[in-house]
Amino acid sequence: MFRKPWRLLCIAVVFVLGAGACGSETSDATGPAVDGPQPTIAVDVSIDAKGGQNVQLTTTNFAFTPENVGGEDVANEGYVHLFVDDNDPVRVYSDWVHLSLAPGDHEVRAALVTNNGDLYDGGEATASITVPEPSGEGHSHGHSADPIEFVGDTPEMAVTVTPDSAQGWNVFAEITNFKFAPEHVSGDNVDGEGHLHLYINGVKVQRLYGNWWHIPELAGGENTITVEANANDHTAYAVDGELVSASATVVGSGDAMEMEDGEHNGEHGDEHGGDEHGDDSEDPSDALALDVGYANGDITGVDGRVEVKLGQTIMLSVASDIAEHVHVHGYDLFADVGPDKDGTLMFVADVPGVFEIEFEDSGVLITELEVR
Amino acid sequence: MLLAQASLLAHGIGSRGDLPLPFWQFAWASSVAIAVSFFAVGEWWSKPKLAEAESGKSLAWTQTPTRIGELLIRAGSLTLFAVTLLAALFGSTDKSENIAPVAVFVALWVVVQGLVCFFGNFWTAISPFETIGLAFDRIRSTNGAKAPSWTHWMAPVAAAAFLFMELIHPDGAEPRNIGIAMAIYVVITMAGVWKWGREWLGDAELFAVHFGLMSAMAPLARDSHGAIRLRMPLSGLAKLDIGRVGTATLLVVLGGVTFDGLGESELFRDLIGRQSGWTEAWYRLAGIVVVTAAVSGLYLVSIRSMARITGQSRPILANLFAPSLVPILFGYTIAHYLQLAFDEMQNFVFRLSDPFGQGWDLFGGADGVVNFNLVSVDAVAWCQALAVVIGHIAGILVAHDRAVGLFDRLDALRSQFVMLFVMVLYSILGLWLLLNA
Repeated sequence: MFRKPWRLLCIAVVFVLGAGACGSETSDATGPAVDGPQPTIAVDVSIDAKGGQNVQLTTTNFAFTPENVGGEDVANEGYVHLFVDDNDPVRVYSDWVHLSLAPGDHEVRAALVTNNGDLYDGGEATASITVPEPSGEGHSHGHSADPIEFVGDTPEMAVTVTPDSAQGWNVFAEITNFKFAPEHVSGDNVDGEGHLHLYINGVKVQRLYGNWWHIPELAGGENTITVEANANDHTAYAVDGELVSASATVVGSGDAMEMEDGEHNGEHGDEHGGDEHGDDSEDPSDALALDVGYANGDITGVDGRVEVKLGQTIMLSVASDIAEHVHVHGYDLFADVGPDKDGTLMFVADVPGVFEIEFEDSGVLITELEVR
Repeated sequence: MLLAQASLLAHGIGSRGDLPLPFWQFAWASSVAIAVSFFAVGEWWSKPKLAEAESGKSLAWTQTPTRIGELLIRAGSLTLFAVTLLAALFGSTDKSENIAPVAVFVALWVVVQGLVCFFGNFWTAISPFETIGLAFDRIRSTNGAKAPSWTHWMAPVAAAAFLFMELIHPDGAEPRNIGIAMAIYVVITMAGVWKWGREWLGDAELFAVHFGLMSAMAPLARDSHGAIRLRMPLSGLAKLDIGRVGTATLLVVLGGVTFDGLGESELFRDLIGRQSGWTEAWYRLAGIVVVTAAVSGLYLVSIRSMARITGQSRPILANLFAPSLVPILFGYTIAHYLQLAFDEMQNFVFRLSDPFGQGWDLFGGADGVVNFNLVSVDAVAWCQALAVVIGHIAGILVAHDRAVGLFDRLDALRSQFVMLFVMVLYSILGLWLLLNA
């Protein structure tokens, strides 16, 4: 009498295993197939009056998608590889980019690539530029010592740095009430217009004409990435005498890294909560933003355990009415948090298991990450 | 849903919790457990077999280690114990830098407990209390003084105290707290050994009592001649006479590990709300008392009803049932602490290079980083489910083996159905806790 159930059991086991195997079979990544119109690119390089060169990229049937870089290829999406004299390419995530080339003749070649960096057929263009020898004081930027006051609505700025799936880091500088004006750069100031300056450890490395920038590599240890808003004439913007800037600290150790929030300008301390997006997403390359608030002893913004895909990037932001230390167990990441300072941490969830995120001093549990 | 402050061991040992078991795995494991149980009770042997298999065969090449070898082992374990105690009392107060928390809660409690189930009771060979007792024997004589039997209750009381530090006390993993608890335990134990001799340890010292009981299921055991014997796993349980003290110790530990699973479940957290510190500790204390009472109550009620059905005396039935608690507890322990052991034993090894957290690097491992991927989480999940099921089946087998020896077939069957019911309940509870991990 026990034979039949055993046979059934075997069949059931085979069925379960088979179903499991089918489930793990996922579709291969597709190449840069373009069904619609072919994307095109044109490139134009001009000398910037205050130093360096401005590259304008004109694309058709193409969208810059820095947020999807490293993810699945989508037709007519991606970014641009900018080659100068056949050096290693620079990643460009926006229509305009600023270069600082040495005097002499240069060839600038722009190539449209997919989210995974595959070349689009025919998506290439080149331009030549002759950079003159610096003439006297001409090269100096003339940043005036005093920042200029921002007159319009207070801009809010935040910067997040995420590890790129292939190489380096992607910087996302979010700024409100601000318009990128590469076409007016080094010209007259218009309130609310301008560009950003990117600093790594206090050294200015790049002028930004868009929200995104790619940093191919950083020195080991802690790196402070600072983004500052500047007017067309390169003078820093300020609100009530405080620079409009934000920074993040990136510690590169393995895949995990820590990011501490710098100062934000403008009013702060608004309610963070109820904002948990991306939780239901299937693609581990989508970052999960967890915005948690702690006020009067209550946690808001998370409800029970948070389920996370193995390999997913977590962007944790904690606002608190008390000074505390946010501790992500297992990954062993810490961030300071206080009434005037949000604690933010960014890391790749690459270890499976259940991990507590808690306030280290009071032992208050913020949430648990279930990584699988 | 609200979350309370989750507690890994002692609020500080282990940084990773286990993933919940998938429901299908739970369903399969439970049904296999139930199916095999019914089959076992109905169809298996009708004469006791384990007792015969207990003698096993002697592995002649494993004679008693030479005196030098024994001395070296004892010196090593005593040193490690002293280092742990000193580190707890005087080392770094950072629980992740001090060796004491991981040494006590993981290396001793989890790993030694797990290993004695495979390799026999090696605790007596490494116990610092034994070692000090041996030294006492050289300088004083006990004149055959017998300890009053109430002192044996130190084992279950110490088990409860240990679990309180491990699972309830909000700062139970703080090195100083561990140090004070260790010091108190050492003083009491050594006073007992001074007065009543080393034999008293086996009756009253928590680790000697508990590890001794757990090791009865091991396929290896040392015989009276000092050689190691290979025997059928579980066969040691066939002749084991577990008294009230031993049963109480097993039930307290079983209650503790069951509560540890329950305390991490969402259910418990929803129940007590978001608490922290001592407020949470009192809730958890209430929880562990209720769970231990439930586990023990189930045990006592089933003994009673078996007594009613079979007309046998309760002490006989208790001895029938109690040994099956050993494999059940073994299964629960593996299920709850396997991942922790893999992760934290790496930490233990690293800490050996800098036990006091003073920035030393004695063996070059102080800066080690735990490799969380040493064993895949899937493999661990399988081991967890299998451990509960195997522990459950082993418990049934042991009880059945005893029942057919004691009773006629009908009484054996009758007594077994009560047992079966309780065991199925235990194992489904055990698996369900993994589901909610």
